[in-house]
Amino acid sequence: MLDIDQSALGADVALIGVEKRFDGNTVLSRLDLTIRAGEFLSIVGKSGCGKSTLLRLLSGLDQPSSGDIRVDGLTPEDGREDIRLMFQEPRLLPWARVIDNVMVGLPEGGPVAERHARAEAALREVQLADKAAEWPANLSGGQRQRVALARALVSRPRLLAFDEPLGALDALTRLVMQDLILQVKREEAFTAVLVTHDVTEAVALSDRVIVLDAGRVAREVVIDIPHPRPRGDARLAALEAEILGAIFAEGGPVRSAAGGTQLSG
Amino acid sequence: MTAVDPAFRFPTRQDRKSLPVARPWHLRHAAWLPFLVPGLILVLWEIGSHVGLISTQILPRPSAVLVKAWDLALTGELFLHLGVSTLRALGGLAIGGTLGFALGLANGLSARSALLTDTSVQMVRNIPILALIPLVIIWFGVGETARLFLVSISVFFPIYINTFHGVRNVDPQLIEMGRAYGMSRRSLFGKVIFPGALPSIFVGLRYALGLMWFVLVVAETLAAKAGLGYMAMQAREFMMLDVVVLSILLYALLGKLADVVTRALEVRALAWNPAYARH
Ligand SMILES: Nc1ncnc2c1ncn2[C@@H]1O[C@H](COP(=O)(O)OP(=O)(O)OP(=O)(O)O)[C@@H](O)[C@H]1O
Ligand SMILES: [Mg+2]
Repeated sequence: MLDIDQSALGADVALIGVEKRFDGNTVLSRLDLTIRAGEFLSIVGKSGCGKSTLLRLLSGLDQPSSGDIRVDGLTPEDGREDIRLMFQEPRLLPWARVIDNVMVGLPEGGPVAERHARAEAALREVQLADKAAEWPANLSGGQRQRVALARALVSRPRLLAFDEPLGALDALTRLVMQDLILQVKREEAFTAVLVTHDVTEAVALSDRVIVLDAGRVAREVVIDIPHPRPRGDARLAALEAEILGAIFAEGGPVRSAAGGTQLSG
Repeated sequence: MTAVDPAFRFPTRQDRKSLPVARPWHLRHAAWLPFLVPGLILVLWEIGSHVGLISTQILPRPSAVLVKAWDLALTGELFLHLGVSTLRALGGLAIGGTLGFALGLANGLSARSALLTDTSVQMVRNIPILALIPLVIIWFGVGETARLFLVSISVFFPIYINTFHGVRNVDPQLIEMGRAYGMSRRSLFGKVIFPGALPSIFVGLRYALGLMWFVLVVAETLAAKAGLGYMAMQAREFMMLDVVVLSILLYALLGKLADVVTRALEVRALAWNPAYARH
């Protein structure tokens, strides 16, 4: 297995007192959160609790109403090639072939041959090198999402944010994609922030899971279990139950008895 | 009710594989099949006038029309009229199409521009173009400008509307993706908005081409010194039925030609779209 110093290539992320309001409706309220370089953080929480909003702020698609966000010490702006966002839908350009879709992830300009080579390398990473000349319409849902992953990876981002990237896939394809995400994470060593509805997925993939509720971090659970994590492991199952409990608990932060769990908020 | 053979079963995929590979007959003959019906009509028409079912005083025979076409081709008159009409059509298409396309883009991209002009355009659009003829004649006389104006304005609206709606209806998720991936305004337009609007723009173009010939016919029968419409009008004066029919057939042919060209462009430009891909 290839082992890279995960903190060397990943971004440091800090959110300080971040608030986001949409005309009077507070979605995120004074959120403090730091993400270590190279960490794999998952965010779970009820629908509408502000997970997508948080990712949009992280990737600079939207600005906080107040507070400060720093990715490697700089405010995120859309189009920063060291920050990439993967959506629930592949959002491929239907009129561009797979390879051209991947090249969308590269900064504009530069020698064509080099862009091509980098896009091909990214496609190899997601095992779709043979589909470079296909139209997106001719791919399966899982393949399309892999192209979207290649597009996100091709600029070698230091922060990769995923907004339920596997939500629309069937159960089997999800498992394959989870392994693929872990694999590229190991090879590319970016900082990963994953929003998911699937607590099992969060526990299987990440170093830390936070539960978002009413715009704040309601619970934080560190998953201190080395990869590869056997599916169905009892410790994972316990952590999963704990997180589910926190999601459906009424009210504010809950202190956990389980080891590795920290209180925040 | 018919009795069902107890041994009957639906053919399986396996059965089909074991059969010799044969494309369905209508696909094997796809090249000439569309012309079967028009061809048959011509043959029946020819026979009909020979046996006296169709009076040649009312409708000349196809063969007579063909002979006439040959004569006119030899004198060069046919190509003169054909050329003049085609030039007018293309000129009007270029002017009206460009303006419609430009305004459609502007209004699709800028809400301010749309607020300012769309309502006005929609109001003008509801006026039947042919109702403008008296006004156009007063403005421009009966010269070339009047004809060009009528054709231009008729292609302007369908191209404007479909470009506008095409741009407006580009998937906002793709636009957001483009923004998230740092596309410049230029490449956002070139890679996302324009290709996204293209299917709709083609719909407008097809519609515009139909209107273009329609308005041109009327404009050329008004007062012209050349063109297919003029040729038909002249022939009517002298009761030359074969020339009248010839000019009608030529309009049909030109319309079909415009359609074929658009279709070829569509197949090329929209190859990514399964709905347009070649079969
Ligand atoms: N552009 C916007 N304008 C107004 N309100 C918005 C906007 N975007 C999000 N919201 C509101 O913010 C809240 C959080 O939305 P968000 O999309 O972040 O939720 P989520 O946690 O991602 O939910 P889900 O799990 O269903 O995806 C919702 O109540 C939503 O209505
Ligand atoms: Mg969401």
